[in-house]
Amino acid sequence: MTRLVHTEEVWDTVVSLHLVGPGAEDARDAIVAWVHEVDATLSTFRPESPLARWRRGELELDACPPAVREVLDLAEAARRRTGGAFDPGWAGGRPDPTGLVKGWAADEAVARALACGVEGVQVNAGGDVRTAGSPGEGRPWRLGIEAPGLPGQLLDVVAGAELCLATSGIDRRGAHVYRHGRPARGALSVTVAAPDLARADAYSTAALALGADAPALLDDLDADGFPSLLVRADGEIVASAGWPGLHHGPASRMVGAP
Amino acid sequence: MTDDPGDHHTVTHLARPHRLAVWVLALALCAGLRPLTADALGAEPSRSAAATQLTTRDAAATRCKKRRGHRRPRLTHVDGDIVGTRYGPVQVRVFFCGRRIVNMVALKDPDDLERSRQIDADALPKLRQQVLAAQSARIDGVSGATYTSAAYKQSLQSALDLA
Repeated sequence: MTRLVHTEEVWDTVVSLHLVGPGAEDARDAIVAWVHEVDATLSTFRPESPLARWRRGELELDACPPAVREVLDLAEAARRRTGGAFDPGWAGGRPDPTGLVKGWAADEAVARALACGVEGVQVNAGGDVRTAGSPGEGRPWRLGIEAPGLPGQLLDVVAGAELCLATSGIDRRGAHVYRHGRPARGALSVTVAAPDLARADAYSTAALALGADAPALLDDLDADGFPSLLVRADGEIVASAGWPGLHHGPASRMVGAP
Repeated sequence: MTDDPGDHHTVTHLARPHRLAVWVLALALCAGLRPLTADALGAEPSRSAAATQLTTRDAAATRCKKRRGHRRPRLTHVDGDIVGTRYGPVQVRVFFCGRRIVNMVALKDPDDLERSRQIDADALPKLRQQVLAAQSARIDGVSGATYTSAAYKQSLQSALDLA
């Protein structure tokens, strides 16, 4: 089975597409168009995007494309679910849902690929990954989780057909997640597995912002079907009870527990 | 390793594009905008301020390689002015590889340094011991902290995309 690989520069990062089987080329074209549509509609870095105009008060929500309300609703739900740790209001003024747009767009990208008839799809939006189907011969997708501060080295590997993994960390862009207006420290990285990438994206961001206070939220999320892998500030790896990784189970929490 | 004084410039001596870049980055950082190019800020925050600068420079050096058919690029750094922000005084050091920005670090931020101490100096060595022994495990993709389009080229994901 041939695999079509395409990389697209968008959202100040690179989106990697791995598409398997008939329909791969159609899927690539559909996804490339989609990610640029998302950029044009939901980028806060583009002053003329409907989201940016709404945030400045120049456009009513009803006049925006439906995607704007959809991501704002998701962002508000994530804020409530994380006790405010995922904070769309971090910049002041009207809410900024940017923290989950990438994951949300990748969710839709995978749906569009499947609609084109592919047998396997991986969408990697700058480190947040969603898969469906198989990369070939019916085997599962295998995704590595990169160790913070150790580029190219893996913390763990997760295998399956339908995977959603979002990682927030302080190493690549620096401390870019803010809590109460200050860069978050206290956790080196948080990976969340979820039924969809939008929430995985939001919850991993929230847990990183909480830093040392993250375990309570992550335990709560685990019980809800959102398992996680946390790298604490002291370098200890802590897997939640339901973490599906092949190399770190919840036993590792015993090691790091005070 | 010490910084070569010859590599150091003050912002007033910069060519215009460099000065502009430092200002834009400093303002972006200080205004609490997403510091999209602040790769190094907090990368190894457990070290002393001096050590942080060295590791930041090392990280910059790894992104500043000689390319075939090109002259060896010069790694330099420039320091922006100290800017008062709502979070206290901040000074930004930006590393250039030729004219390209390869790294950046905030030099002065007392609260930042205080927070940095929350991270154990042994964090990375300890983490290194725990990462998979079988790094050669067959994988199809990588989840990790968000990379910029520039950083993508050095990422494990890019290697998998080319495989």
